[in-house]
Amino acid sequence: MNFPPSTGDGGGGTVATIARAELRLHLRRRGFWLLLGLFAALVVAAGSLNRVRQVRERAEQQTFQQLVRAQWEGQPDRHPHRVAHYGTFAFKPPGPLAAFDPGVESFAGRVQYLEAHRQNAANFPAAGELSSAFRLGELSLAFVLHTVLPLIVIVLGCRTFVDEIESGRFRLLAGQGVSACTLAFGKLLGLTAATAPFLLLALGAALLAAGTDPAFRGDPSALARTAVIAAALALHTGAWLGLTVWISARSRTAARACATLVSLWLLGAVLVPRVAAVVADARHPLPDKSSFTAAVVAATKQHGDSHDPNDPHFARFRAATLARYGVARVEDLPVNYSAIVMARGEELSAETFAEHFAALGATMEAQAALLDRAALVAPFLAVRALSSAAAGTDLRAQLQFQREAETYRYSFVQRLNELHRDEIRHANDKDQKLAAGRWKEFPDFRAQPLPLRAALAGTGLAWLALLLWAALPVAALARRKEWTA
Amino acid sequence: MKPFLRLCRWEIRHLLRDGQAWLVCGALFAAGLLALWTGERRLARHHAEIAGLPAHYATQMAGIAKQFSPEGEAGYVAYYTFFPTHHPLAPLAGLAVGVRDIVPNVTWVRLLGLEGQLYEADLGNPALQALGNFDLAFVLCALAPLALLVLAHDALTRERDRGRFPLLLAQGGSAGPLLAARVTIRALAVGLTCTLVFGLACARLPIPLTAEALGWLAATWSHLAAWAGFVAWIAAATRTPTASLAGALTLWIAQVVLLPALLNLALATALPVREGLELTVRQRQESHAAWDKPRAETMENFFVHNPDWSGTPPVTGRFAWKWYYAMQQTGDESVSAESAAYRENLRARQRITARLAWLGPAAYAQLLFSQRAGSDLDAHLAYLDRVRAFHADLRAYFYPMVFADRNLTPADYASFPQFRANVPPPPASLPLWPLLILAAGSATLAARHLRGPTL
Repeated sequence: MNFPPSTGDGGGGTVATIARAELRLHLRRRGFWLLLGLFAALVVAAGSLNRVRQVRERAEQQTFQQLVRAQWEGQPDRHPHRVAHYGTFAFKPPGPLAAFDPGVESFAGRVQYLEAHRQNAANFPAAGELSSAFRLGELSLAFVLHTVLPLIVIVLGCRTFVDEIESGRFRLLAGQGVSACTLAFGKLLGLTAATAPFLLLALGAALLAAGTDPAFRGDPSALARTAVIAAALALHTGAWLGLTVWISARSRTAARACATLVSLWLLGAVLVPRVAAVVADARHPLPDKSSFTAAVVAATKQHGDSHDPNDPHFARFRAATLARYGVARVEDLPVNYSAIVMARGEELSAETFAEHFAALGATMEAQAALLDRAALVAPFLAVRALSSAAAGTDLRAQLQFQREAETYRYSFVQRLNELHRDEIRHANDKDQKLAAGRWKEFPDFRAQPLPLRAALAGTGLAWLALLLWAALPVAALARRKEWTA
Repeated sequence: MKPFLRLCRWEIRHLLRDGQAWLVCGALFAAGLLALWTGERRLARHHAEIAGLPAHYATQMAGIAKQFSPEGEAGYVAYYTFFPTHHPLAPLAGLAVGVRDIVPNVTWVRLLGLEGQLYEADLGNPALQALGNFDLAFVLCALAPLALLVLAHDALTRERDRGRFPLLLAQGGSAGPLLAARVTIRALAVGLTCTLVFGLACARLPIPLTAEALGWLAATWSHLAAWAGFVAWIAAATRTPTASLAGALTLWIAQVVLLPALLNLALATALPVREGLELTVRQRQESHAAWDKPRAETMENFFVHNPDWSGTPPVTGRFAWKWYYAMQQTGDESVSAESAAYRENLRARQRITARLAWLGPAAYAQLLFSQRAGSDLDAHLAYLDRVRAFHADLRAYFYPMVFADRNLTPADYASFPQFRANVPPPPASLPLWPLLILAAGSATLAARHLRGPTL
């Protein structure tokens, strides 16, 4: 870090001296060690409980995914369309760093039923299975680092500068040629050093939890994810360090500095996020589920009803198919006409689903984008967005899972329609079956986490918010070289 | 008692001239208004959704009438007919969202297996849900205590700080009544602000003055009483305004932010609930397996629990609607143990939550509010039970026609059963006395601090 030159002989050497004095002051206080102990207990609780829960959830997800795969392969001789209705399930695996930052995962559905003719929603969000008493925040290492750590910075640092003024020491120092700027940067450096044990403790716990997690170690972008999270965290913590020293330098009493900083924390971490959520919901309202479903059904009907022999779209489709094969009746086709109709119906309905679910996802992303704009006021929202994006636990990761599940659904249903078309004769269609061994030919569902680059696309505003919040207090401290005590 | 009342009168006059007090109560009031606005919007949207259900149902029935005109098999018509069920939001639920933004308030069910239809999630944005709601319960549980702490933490330390404290004691005044008067008057100010917001809510939403609404007010005041005890204790136990402020904030963060989050995480870790996923997978497997079995076997299984239909003629051929619905129902019956365990585990979580929440007034009050508003998990489970009962009605209505292979004309549709949302009043509500015990306990601690050397 480069400190601007100050007046007189108070250069880098003085800054370091002040910083050392500040750090010694903290280390001598009993309160500091008490706070560190409490913080350590919180880190251990958050880290270990999340670790246990996340390991269990991953194991559960794998067990269920393997179970439904075994059920799929274990099917007896069946008609392919029967299999399409039997369907399968897609279970959402936890994001690569869910144990560190669960992001939105508790509020997102964990299982999606995949069947012919329908795109279902992901069901069983964990939060729907919890009591309402505790909707005030979810404890995780990310929560500790994003929400609790700024408070530690405030508690340690709110009096750092104002004490010098209140006690009259600042006049003494000024007489010795130490500028306010030098003092401020010395304090900032000292406070940073005093905060470091807290930061390292929580980060160490996070790395320990992640490093012993095979799912994370197997992820090729594990290092990059860690780097992004650490960078966002460094900026966010830096912002609070700078802000604390700046407010402390601008306040008349320590109590007032503390009150101002805590009010800022309350606004940024508690109030603005909730208000932003309210505004996002009002600006970009989501449809209610009944209307959404009704709209999907209506749109599907417009495409034509494949089950209705008199449907105009499918009447044209039949004529075209007969012409292509040069026959007069569907019974004379070399392939199974019902299966062709089914495939065409699936294609059309899948387009409709894609359109409607994309619109739904776009509304959700617009809501999330509004949160990113609110991050300019509340950096907590920025660090949260970046951290959960890099952890693979944000809204985008959830939408990606839903898209993947839908792609998989469409491909196995259409593969079944192909088998139906080619291997089931039109006459006596429903009495025929495919051999049990055929089900193994289908690929298994594998959820792929969103690549980091895609996860971070569009996070520019969040980075900007963090950079501004980190830079502005430091710039303000550097700008005024001479303060009056 | 008279000197105490005089102290109180003096404190009221003092408070009315205190700019900071007006600012804090004004901010709290503004937050309350915002919460009221979000609650109003939530209720309006909910009512619009409910009001739209008959139209969606009518559109669906028109399509079915077109498809099955002049008549269609009862089983076939029932296959395509979805029936809306809903869980109406009580006006109070606009003020305490509870879990109602996550669980669906509308569920469409048809005659098929119920277990596969009962747990459809709503369309919510998890990114917003994860940030939490700005409802009045949040204002009352999180912000109102903060306002009280800010106003009253320095009830004594301010006097100590300015050196007036020894003077006061020397003149024969005692710290106890002074502290009691100060904290009481400030708690009254905060409580009246909250009551004012609630009064506005009652007028706007509107909320009838039922036992639940009065219970809501009682919970508001009991919760503030607990915090008044806490703040008195902090004011008595600290020596400087900085220390009392630090103590107050620490307590608020521990009680409002950390304790609920920690309990939540501990509960989710210690009491996993996987029956929901299990029964979903199992129900599909069981009902679809029936396609590969002799029809008579499924019918026999069905008759075990439904002997009334055992006299009906046997199923011949590949497909019959009565076999189809029998197969769906046996799918449900095969997971009835998991389904019961699922509900029981969720209820157990709720019970344990209620017991653990005694540790902190904020968490406990949140429970009280959502329970009185009918927006907690128990209320949702009770709604699912009503959906279950309605689905049984559907079976009772359609089975006689399905088993008799009857046909339905569009004119018959008017007599289909419809869900009636009779929400029973919430069951025996959580008691208020844990909050009052916390209040009394912390007030006692405060008194003990004042009894020792107080300089």
